[in-house]
Parts: sequence; structure tokens; C-alpha cells
Amino acid sequence: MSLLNLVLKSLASRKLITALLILSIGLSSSLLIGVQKIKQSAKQSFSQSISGTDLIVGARSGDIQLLMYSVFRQGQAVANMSWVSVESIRDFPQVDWLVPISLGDSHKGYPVLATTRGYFDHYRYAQKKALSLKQGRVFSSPFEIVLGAELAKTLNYNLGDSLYLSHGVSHGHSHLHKSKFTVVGILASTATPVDKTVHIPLEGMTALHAEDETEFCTHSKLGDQGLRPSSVTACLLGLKSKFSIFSVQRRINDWPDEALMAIIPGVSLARLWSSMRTIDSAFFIITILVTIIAFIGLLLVLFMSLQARQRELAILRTLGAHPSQLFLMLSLESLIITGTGVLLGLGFMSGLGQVLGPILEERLGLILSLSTFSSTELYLALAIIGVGGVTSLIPAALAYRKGKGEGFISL
Amino acid sequence: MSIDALIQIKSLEFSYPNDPGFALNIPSLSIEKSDRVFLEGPSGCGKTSILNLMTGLMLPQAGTIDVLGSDITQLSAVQRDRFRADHFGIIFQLFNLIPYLSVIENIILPCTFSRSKRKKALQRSVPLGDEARRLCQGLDIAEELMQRPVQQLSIGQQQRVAIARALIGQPEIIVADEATSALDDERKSQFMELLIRECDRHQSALIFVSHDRQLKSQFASSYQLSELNTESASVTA
Repeated sequence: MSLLNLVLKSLASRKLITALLILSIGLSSSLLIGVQKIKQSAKQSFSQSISGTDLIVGARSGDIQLLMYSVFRQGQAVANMSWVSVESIRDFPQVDWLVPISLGDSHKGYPVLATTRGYFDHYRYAQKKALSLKQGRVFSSPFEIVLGAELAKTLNYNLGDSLYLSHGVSHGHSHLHKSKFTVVGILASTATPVDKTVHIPLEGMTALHAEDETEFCTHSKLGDQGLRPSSVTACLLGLKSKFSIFSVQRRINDWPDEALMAIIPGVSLARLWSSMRTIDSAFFIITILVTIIAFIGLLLVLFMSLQARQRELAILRTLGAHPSQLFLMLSLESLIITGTGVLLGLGFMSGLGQVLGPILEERLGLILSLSTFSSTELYLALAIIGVGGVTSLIPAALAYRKGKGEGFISL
Repeated sequence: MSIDALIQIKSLEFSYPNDPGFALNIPSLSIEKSDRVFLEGPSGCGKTSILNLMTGLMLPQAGTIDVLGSDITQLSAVQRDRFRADHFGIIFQLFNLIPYLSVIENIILPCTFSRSKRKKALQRSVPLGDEARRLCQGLDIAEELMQRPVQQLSIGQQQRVAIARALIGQPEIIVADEATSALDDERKSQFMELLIRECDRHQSALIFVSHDRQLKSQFASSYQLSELNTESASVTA
């Protein structure tokens, strides 16, 4: 019989305690790995809210502020940028495409984004994924709208439904615009703020605000010069070459006619994310503490079992076991417990991922890849097993010392 | 100095570092390679210490201990453990067995720690379990008992399993430390009979340590521990 066999039989004789230990280490390791995963997924979902856009241009303010309202529809712009500037920037030789966006209105608390058809062609999220329509088509006249997936689902809108927009961003009954909009398209889910956005043509918004002032309402076709906006909130910019990003950015920042700024979305997203690092590390510390508690439990049980097994160890010693073999047995024991615990934790996580993954993606827009494990998680798992091994050294060393002094058991 | 000496102790001095009240001082002790030796002594006279020293579990401060011709005080800790595993079979007073192993597994356990015992056991029967069964048959351990968890065995049955474990792999020396003290008189004589018979059959020498003088008659030679120890006056209980 090998020592490993002996250890396994010994563990099997203490089924309940062993099972509870494995469970506690399993749960804490799945917590540790799970928090890492959620953090990663959140970061990923967050930083992939916009991609493929080289610069975002808006009135001069903070870069985070511009990012927040242009991408996340949070907060408000301090000022708009004039249409004249938009057209001048569009004429830069380095600019490939330009999509103006106008914010400020809302529908039942959901933000309204006025833009051009180019938005649907050029907006990218995640790994350069384009927006796609689940139903219907892109708007083609001023009073047509395209809804984000989540919004359409929550408010139960279908193609052909008509709705009114309200002025300003408010959840209450604020001033409603008079014109009626018709749903012509519903976008597929993207797990970005796009899902919660009402998209209308820029001309539609111009008309809304014109009618508010003049009581004038006209259902003209797109491209009508009369519905050209005087200003927009921001522009998304795509360049012909990535190498010109900084020169274009500098040129816009130094714009003489108006106080403008251009930001690189990826850079500002990273800055925003790092400002949330404290929450991030708080989470991590909590899970580390949970894991430490699990290991204190392990240590406690190992000590108790050492106490209860003094006689057993003494018998092994008189049969010729060297103290180092006793040491090996105890380390092996806790290594088996921690190893099994971590495996259980990983299994638990991927099982949970199967069940919770789709729900989280649907509700929170979190794309959790719980069933696959990255190298970080594997390192974390190995680290837990390593800590388990180190923890076991304490009772194992005690067993070794006891073994050295252990003689005959004579009563 | 006899070449046939089983164990030869010379000018041995031993005391526990944390117990200054106890000291063992044996100028000379020679146990012949005859067959059965009775070491007699009341509890507290240093029986356990002598056994620890003979089997290499502890080292004396001074003196030599020759076992089967080699001075075990000159061996390293690992060598002493291997020496004990290879040449000794040990029976205690009580609770000899590992509770989570079956009878058979308990019997073959010494072969885990001694390659020579394993080899010798396998020379007799393959696999090791069969050798354990063969030993059990000699000790009247019923087949049905062999599969049971050891806690379900009576003390008498447990002690018989302990004999089987001591005998496996034919060690040269069987040491029994107060092995009968938990048994009633009837069981005691049965146990002694079996132990001596099996030791003879397997050609193992038997060193039987006890305070029970009644058993002395069954042994060819006997030693009085309290007489051997010149420091016995200072022995504390």
C-alpha cells in the first residue's frame, strides 16, 4: 500500500469533515475566480461600448464628460458644436467619415439620439461589430425611429407603433413634443448603451425644435435644406489612417472659431475604468479575506485531526515510517483537499455560467465567459492550491517534530 | 562478546532532556540469539525507554546498542527507521491497528515501509493479501473478520491481528510491549500460546516486555530491568 493510498483511506474515513472542507474551499475559490471574471467581463463590456471610432468631437469640457454623454448617454453637454464646424471637420482630407449626434431629448426616461443614417453604417462595438437590425429598416424620413433592443423589449414596442418624445431628459411627465414618430426598425442586442437608445434622424430633431418655436410642422423628405440643424452635441469621426489621429486631434483642439475638443475613445475609456479601481480592489480584498477564512478552517481541521491521530502516527512511526513520511502524508492530505476544492469551484463556476450567463447578458449586458478559463483564472486556481500547500506545512511540520520525539506507545 | 548476541548493550546512558528525574544507565546487557526473552519490570522502570532505544526510535547519550551485529547508534535517523522496519515486528498493549484500514490492510502495512519485509512476504505468497490471509489462518482469525473494519473486532481479535502484522515479512525480532495486559486470564494464555507458536514457526526471536511475572515461566530466559539499571534508585514513577 502506498502512502497516497493510506492518505486517501484516511480521508475517506473522515468523509463529512473532508467533504465540508472541500466545499468551503470550493466555494471560496469560485468566489475569488467569479469576482475576477465579473470584473473582467464588466471591463470588457464597458471598454467595448464603442470601437471603430477614432475620435469623438464635442464642445470643450472634460474628456470623461464628453465620453459619458456621447457614449453612455450620462450627464449633459455643456455646449453644442456648430454645424459650420461639423462641415469644416468633415472636409478634412484625413477624415474618412463623420457621424453627427444630437442628444437631449428622451422617451419615457430613455435617451433620444438624433443622427444620420451613417451612424448605422459606421458605429462599431466589441470587436468591430456593426449594428444590425433585428426587424424593419433604418429610418428614411424625419419622423421615423429605430429602437434599441432592450428598450423595444421593455416598453413592448413593435414595428409600426407610434410614440411621442419629450423635451429634455426627465423621467416624469415633462413637456412632450407634438410630433408623432413611427417605429420602423428595431436593432439587435449589443450589450452596449445603444440597446437603451431611441434613434431618430437629425432632421426629425431639428423639426421638433423648430415646431416648438414656430408651431410649424412639415413632413418633408430627408435632405431638405430647411431642416438642417444649426448645431449638434458631438461627432463620431473615422479617419482614413490611424497615423493621423494625433494631428487631427491637435487640429480640432486648436480650432480657432469655437472651443472644441477631440478625444480618443479607447484612451478615455481606460482612464474612466481606472478611476473605478478602488471598487475593484475592495471586491478583490473581500474575496481574498473569504479565501483566508477558508484556509483558517483548513488549518483548524488539520490541527484537530493531528490531535486525534497522534496514536495513528505513532503506530506508523514504530512500523518504520520516517518523520518525513508523516510530513508527506499530512501535506498530501491537504493538497488533495485544496486541489479537489479548487476543481469543484471551477466546475461550479462553469456550471453557473451555463445557467446565469445568458440571463446576465440579457439583463445587465454583461458578457460572462464563465465556462472558459483564461490564464489569469488558472494562475489564481494554482495560487489557491499553493496557499493550501503552504498552510498544510504548519501541521505537517508539527507532525514531523512529534514524529521525531514519538516513541513507543506504552500505557 | 558473543557473536550470537541478538541485542548487546554496553555502557548505555540515557535521560530525557525535559525530565531530569529519570535516568537509565545500563553498563552491560546481552540478549542471546536464543529464542524467547522475558524483560520484566514494574511500570516506570524504563521499559518503554529501553524499547525506544533498542528499536532506534531514540538515541542514547552514550554507549552502544548492537542489534543483529550492527551498532544502531551509528546509523542515521533514516537508516534507523529502515532498520526498525526491516528487522522488528512490534505489538503494543492496545489499539495496535489503524482504524480506517481493514484487517488485511493493517497486516500488510509494514510492507509499505520495509522493502525487505515486502520481498520476504511475496516469496511466501503473492499477492500480499494472500500472505496476510495465510497468517490469519495460523492465528485463527476467521475469513469473515478479515473484511470487517477493525473497530468491530474484539480486543482479543485485534491483538491477534497485531501478531499477524508483526510476523509479516519474517522480521528477526518480535517485540511485544505489555501485549497481554488488556486481556483476561483465559484470553491471555491463548494469546501467549499463539504468539510463541507463531514466533517459533516463523523463526523470529521474541522479546516480551511485561510487569506480569506469571508469564515468566513460558520464557527460556528473563531479565529484571530494575536490576540492570544502576540508576534505578533515582527512577520516578
